[in-house]
Amino acid sequence: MVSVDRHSSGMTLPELLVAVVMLGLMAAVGLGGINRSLAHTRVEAATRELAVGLEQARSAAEAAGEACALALGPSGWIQPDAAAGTSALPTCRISLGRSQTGVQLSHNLPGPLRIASNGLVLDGGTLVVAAGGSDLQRCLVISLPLGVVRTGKSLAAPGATPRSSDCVADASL
Amino acid sequence: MSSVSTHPGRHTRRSSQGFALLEMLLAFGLGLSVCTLMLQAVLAEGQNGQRLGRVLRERQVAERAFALMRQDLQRATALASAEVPPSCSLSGRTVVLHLQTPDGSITYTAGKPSEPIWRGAVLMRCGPAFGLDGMPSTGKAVNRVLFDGLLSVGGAQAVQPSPGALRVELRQQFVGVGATSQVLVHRQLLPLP
Repeated sequence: MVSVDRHSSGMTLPELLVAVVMLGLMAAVGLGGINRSLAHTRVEAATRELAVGLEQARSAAEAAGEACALALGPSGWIQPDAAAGTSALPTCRISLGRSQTGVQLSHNLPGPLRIASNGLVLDGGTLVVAAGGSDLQRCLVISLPLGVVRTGKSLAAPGATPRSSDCVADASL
Repeated sequence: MSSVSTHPGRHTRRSSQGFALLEMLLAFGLGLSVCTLMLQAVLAEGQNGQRLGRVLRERQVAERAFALMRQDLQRATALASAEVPPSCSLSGRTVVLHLQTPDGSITYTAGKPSEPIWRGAVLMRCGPAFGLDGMPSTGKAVNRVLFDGLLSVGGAQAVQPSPGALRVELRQQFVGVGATSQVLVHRQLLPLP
């Protein structure tokens, strides 16, 4: 009789509270993981777009036989005119694509990145891509004059000025 | 007659009991084996794709490096003698090609990179920078990395197989997942000045 009453009364308040707290904790852990994963994906996508953009710009300059320039905006390549340092060169024809939201891009390029009429890259430097919610900082080193891009992991503190000496090769790439 | 009709009770009881432990273990074992094989096949396919992608990317960069060498060779007046010092510090790297051009000497070297982003040994070019027209500009010589991932010994070689020709060979090695290594060899025959 006692056991029937107990079953019919459902869960007690402490049981319910424990269940709610446990579910909340599980949801928080799950959401944190998802956020980290999304931030990680944004960083990787922005890095890929930067590398592909440079390659497209090189090909476009070579195909047109005309020097051109690109600039770096807050999250990717933009037209040089829109950047702080304006350029007299035409913008390299690239598919600028959908810029990644939520990523922070820092670089040490001297100004707009210029590409010669035969596809040689005249300005190089180091770019660092980061996103809130992830501790991953991807770096790209652009080497002259071939415009070879190597992607790695930046060991610098967040917000530090990008330096190629802080960018190390990543075996997972 | 069959066992079902001879021992109907026994057969029914057996069926109602579900699988035996041995049957379950066998089924699990087989299932796991199939899953493992499929997973291995998928992973191997992914690795093959990565290796192929690397071959294409590296070949493209090698072609660009060879094109630059060809351009420098066309502009060169002669192979520079060992007495002519390179315009940059070699930092222990070995000379692969040393050219004399109207814009100054151009030296290709191979050896240890100066920065941690480069993999393995690197091929570097010490020579004049370029202008917007893609031609060498006047000014100080700069030392830049052209190609990386080279073997530390014999990674970059330039030999003269016949008069007027230069064969350049670049050997790369990459260590992939599971310590499997991938060796890429790029060769090009270039005209000498």
